[in-house]
Amino acid sequence: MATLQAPTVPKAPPGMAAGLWRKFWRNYYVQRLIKGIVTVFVVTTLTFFLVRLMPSNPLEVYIQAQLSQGIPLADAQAMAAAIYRVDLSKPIYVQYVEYLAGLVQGDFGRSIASVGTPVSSIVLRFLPWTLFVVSVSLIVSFTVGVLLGTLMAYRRESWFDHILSAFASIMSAIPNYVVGMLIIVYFGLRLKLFNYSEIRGSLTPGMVPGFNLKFFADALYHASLPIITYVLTTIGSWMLTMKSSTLSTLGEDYVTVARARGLTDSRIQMAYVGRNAVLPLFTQLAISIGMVVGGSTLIETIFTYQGIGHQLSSALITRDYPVMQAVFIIICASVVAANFLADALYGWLDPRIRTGGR
Amino acid sequence: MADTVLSVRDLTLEYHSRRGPVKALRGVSFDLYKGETLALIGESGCGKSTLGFALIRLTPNSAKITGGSICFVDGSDQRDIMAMSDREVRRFRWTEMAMMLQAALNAFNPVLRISDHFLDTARAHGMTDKAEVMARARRLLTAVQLDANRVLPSYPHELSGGMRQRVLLALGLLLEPKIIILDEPTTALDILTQRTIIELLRRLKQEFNFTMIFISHDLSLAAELADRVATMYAGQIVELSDVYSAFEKPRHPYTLGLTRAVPTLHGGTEALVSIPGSPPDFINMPSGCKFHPRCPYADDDCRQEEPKLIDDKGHLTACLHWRQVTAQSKARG
Amino acid sequence: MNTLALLGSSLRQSLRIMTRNKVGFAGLCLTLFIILGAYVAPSFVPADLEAHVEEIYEGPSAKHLLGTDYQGRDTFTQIVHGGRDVIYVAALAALLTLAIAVTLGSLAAVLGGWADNLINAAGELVLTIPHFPLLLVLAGFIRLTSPSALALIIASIGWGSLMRTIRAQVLSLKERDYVQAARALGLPTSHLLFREIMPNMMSFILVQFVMSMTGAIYNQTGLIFLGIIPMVTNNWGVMINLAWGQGAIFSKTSTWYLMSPIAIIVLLQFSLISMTRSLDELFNPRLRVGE
Repeated sequence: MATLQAPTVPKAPPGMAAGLWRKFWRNYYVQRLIKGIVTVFVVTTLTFFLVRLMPSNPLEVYIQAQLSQGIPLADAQAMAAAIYRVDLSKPIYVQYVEYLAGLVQGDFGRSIASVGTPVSSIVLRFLPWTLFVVSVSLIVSFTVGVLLGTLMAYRRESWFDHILSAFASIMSAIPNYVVGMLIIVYFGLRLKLFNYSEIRGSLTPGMVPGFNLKFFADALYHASLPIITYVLTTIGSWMLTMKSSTLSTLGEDYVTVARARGLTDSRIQMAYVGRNAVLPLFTQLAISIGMVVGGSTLIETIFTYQGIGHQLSSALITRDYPVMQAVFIIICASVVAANFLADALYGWLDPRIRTGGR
Repeated sequence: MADTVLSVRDLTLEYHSRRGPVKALRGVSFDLYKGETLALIGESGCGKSTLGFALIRLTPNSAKITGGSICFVDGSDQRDIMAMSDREVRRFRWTEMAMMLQAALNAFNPVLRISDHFLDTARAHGMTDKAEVMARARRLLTAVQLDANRVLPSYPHELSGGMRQRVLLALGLLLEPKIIILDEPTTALDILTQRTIIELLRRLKQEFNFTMIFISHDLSLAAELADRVATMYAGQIVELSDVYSAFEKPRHPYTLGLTRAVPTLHGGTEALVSIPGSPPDFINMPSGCKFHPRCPYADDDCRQEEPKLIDDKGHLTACLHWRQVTAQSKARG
Repeated sequence: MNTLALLGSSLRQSLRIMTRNKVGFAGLCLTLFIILGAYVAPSFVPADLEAHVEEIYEGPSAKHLLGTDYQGRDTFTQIVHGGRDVIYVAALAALLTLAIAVTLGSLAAVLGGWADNLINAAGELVLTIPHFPLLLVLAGFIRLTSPSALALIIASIGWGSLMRTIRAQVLSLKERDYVQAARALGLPTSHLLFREIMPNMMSFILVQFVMSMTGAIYNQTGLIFLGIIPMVTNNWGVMINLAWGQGAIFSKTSTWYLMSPIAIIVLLQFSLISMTRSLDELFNPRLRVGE
């Protein structure tokens, strides 16, 4: 979890507003929000300069390619400008500002591979699928992992505990895309639990997106394998962490006092042990989000699921730099946003953070 | 003869440690009289906290009460706590006997408000009328000199240590238990707050009329509050007497050592006595009387047989040479 | 005692702790076996990379212990020869990660002020941005021809959490030996670093090193699988890529071609992680699964 020293509070305006100003900047949520925005901004800037300054500069590669086809330099530059949404004749800083301006308006330039298609439309087409799969996976993995971890703590050293611990250990050694492969090979092709050729992709060919049950059912069917893969690979960590957190919470004084007060076991398990044991896990949520989103590139490729992760790698292979750039920024922005939500959730759940200002 | 509210006989408790079984309580017996304040004194590790927990049958998982009885007397009704079912014990806790752990600093659930703690406790024992519980809570918080309006909606981390100790006391009185056990009520507090708590305990006891056991290693606390003092050593009670006798005419060498080890305000320049050696290893206990390695009065008899509690006019002592000890303490003054 | 000897003895101590635990010891043995095998065994097993069209996708037999691939080549031979690159990149990446983290962490703690803020912010950034997509992007812009370059790229993004820990440790030392730290840069500081911090943190550093290796294995095989990295030599990662691409999953016998590299990689990962379990228990009660 971010433990940056508290950002210096900007100078306060004089008068009554001073108190409010200070309180605003010290607010947990505001700090996290600002941090998130700054991160996205830095990522955007880095990506922009990366494209321009790296050895195999894609703009120059593109211009060279056009030149070798006999297209005059000025025209080649104009075409490059249209694709990358940059004006090559202007100094780099002006280009940067124009690029940012374009971004804010949602203009990411145009794709090279699918000539003329605005990148933003590509992003919008594939992003929801990834977000869907990632969110469902995180929620399922977290909730089930926490429940199992709690059970493991209460049934410590039982066969239940040992088996699940072994499972978690083994899963942590297998790369997530390999898990996907194993599922396809053994559960799909060998045991024939599902039809591999049917379940590939994000939708059955011919299915029209719409707000009806048929569509959702189909989408869920196709998303089930990626979700299962994500869940299997991340649940181990939640289980083990929740188990150790629960065990240490069980030793807390207030649990003993709760028993002395004659509270029922169920009340103690839920409100005294559970609620406190789960808190530290939220700090791990940020890492987990990064992992799952990061792994989407590989998992989506394995299952040929048309999501944004798959777009990143295919854009890379086809050297479609505008798409790659945009997808990368969007991926980072999504992670940052999700982190912020996780932080906010944690802040809301732990009163010590909520009333920290007092 | 005062009414007995609690009668403990031969209570033994054992738990498993990595090095072997440990008998933390080895046959504890005493009676508790209605309305009195009994101090349970001893060094760390003698078993006094374990005894407190055992009385409400709250033992860590590896511990088991292996023998004895704890009889709770309520008027003409006698109930053996050891014979109660888990459900009955749960109901019994806090309503008849409330055990308050030391370190009130961490006695509260960090994610619940103080008001929730009161409501939780009440609900667990069948009191569902929220308004009534809150009214009672307010009265109690006022009795412990806290501002109910400030305290009730607060989270535990927003209160100071002294405040939390007082809230715990108020919480303990919520269901009007007959017996309150306090484990090291003043240890974690600074000296000024200690004074406040002591005064508070005195007043509360007068106002609410409960019987109190408090466990401590602090003798001055016993001198202030207790009617009777019980000294524990190596999992047993070695002396039980009224507070004056305990300080002026102790009969057990250990008690003698404890009381003489503390400098008094009015004391002269007499040499302070400290007890040599250290508490016994519960796995490898000495033979006979467990105190003999550190006792200036020890002889062969002491090394061979473990003395039982001898009752002489209400003053119980577990020492073969108690007359000697008493004579010595009288001489020392 | 000179610093190298000091570090060496603390390393030995950590290894001793590791081997006291049964699981840790088994992990260590298996890891060493695989690594040694990858480097030594190729000398004993001839590299027969001729295509034998008549033996395509055969199952295991006496002649081909693990069957054959899509060109009839022996899978077992490929497994034996395919480990060097993978292990080299993993180890180098882990070492470089360590070097970067230690350097930046110490600098941040010792210099303080704007340097500290800058390094912290960079670390924060590197921790927030998802690693694999970042690797993809970097791989897209930088031509990765040598394994060493790949290791460097992998190392450049994985130093975040270790840097923070080192920084915290150095800071705590700085509080203690204020005068010494006041002499800021130069020999005294590195002296402090190697004599005080490293020995204390040896166990932790060792665990981080091993976990970095597992992460590097994941990253490189992932990159190879997606075809981002030019597949020059035939290693385990390349085998997975080819197997998948050539449809090895579709028949019972051909699956061996896919499963063999997977199995050896999983085995290596598992033994590496097992190695850290015993140390992990000592200082980190929360078992964290590294990226």
